[in-house]
Amino acid sequence: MENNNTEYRELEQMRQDMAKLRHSLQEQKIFSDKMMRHVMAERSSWINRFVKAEFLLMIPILILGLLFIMRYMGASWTCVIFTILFCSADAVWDAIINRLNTTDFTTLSLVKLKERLLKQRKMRRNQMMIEVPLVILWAGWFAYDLISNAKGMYQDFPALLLVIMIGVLLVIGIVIVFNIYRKMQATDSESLAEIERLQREI
Amino acid sequence: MNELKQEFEKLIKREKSTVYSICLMFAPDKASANDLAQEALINIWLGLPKFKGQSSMHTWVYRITLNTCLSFKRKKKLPSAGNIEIDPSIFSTETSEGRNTWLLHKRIQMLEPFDRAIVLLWLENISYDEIGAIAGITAKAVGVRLVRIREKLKNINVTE
Repeated sequence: MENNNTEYRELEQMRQDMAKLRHSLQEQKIFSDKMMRHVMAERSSWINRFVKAEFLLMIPILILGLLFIMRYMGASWTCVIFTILFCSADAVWDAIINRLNTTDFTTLSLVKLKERLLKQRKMRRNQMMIEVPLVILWAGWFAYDLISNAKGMYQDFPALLLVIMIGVLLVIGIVIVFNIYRKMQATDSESLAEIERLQREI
Repeated sequence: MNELKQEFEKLIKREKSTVYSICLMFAPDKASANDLAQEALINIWLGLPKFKGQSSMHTWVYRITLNTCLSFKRKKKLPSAGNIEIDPSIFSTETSEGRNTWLLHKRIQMLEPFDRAIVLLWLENISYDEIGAIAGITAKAVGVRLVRIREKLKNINVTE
């Protein structure tokens, strides 16, 4: 009984100290106006920003680039429309996979958050496994389409050189995408490791 | 947007002591507490438009701040966004108030991060069910956890 009272007193003392601290803090300004303005200017994490940039920047640039290629180099409408649809579908898929935002991260329980992060990582891996072979096939078709429909000065452009150029651009593109993929997976892995560490302590 | 900003400013004015006291109990020092508080504020701001009132605003702020403290990456250096304005006497061990804060901080710091979260919620008189919902464990597990925390606190000897 004495022990229980001692334990209770310990926590009760902490409760009183906490109440006093809270009371003292409530009388302080704490957060300056400058900090409040900075906070309200904040939007979201880099992954969410990347997904938004895909829609707002990359897709419009891609459409303009493809229209330029079609007009001056001679790609077919079929190939251009397919490419736009393919890239738009990829952007939508990215948005679905990466819909876990900063707010979810701070409001979900640890168990739920872990489930969502694991699902996100798995979906991202599946996306890579499906999309990389498709992109390689698309690049082959795109090169063939460009060679067959070449117009103007590009009619005399050596086909082999064009294939090499598309191949190099394809490799650069895959390396960039793979690095972004690894960075996203690493970000989720760090969070998962932190959650697992906390769960071990439960 | 202006309405949301006003709501946020009012909320922070009301809950600033909640946010800062939790951050203070999680951080090893005042500078880290300031970083944590800044990060918690950002998360509250980002979450405000999606707050649907399933819990009280106070519990919601508590949940966001705790999760921020539990998941914050210490290695991340935040850009300076202005100073936190607090009377330094709160932290001075020269005053009785400062000494109490120091002792409270020491006791809570000696607990594991998850225990810190549970005990802070308990100190706030939040029910076991709500603590469980915030931490992602059952109310029964909260009770068991609190018994173990009491046991740990009993064995903690804080010396200045």
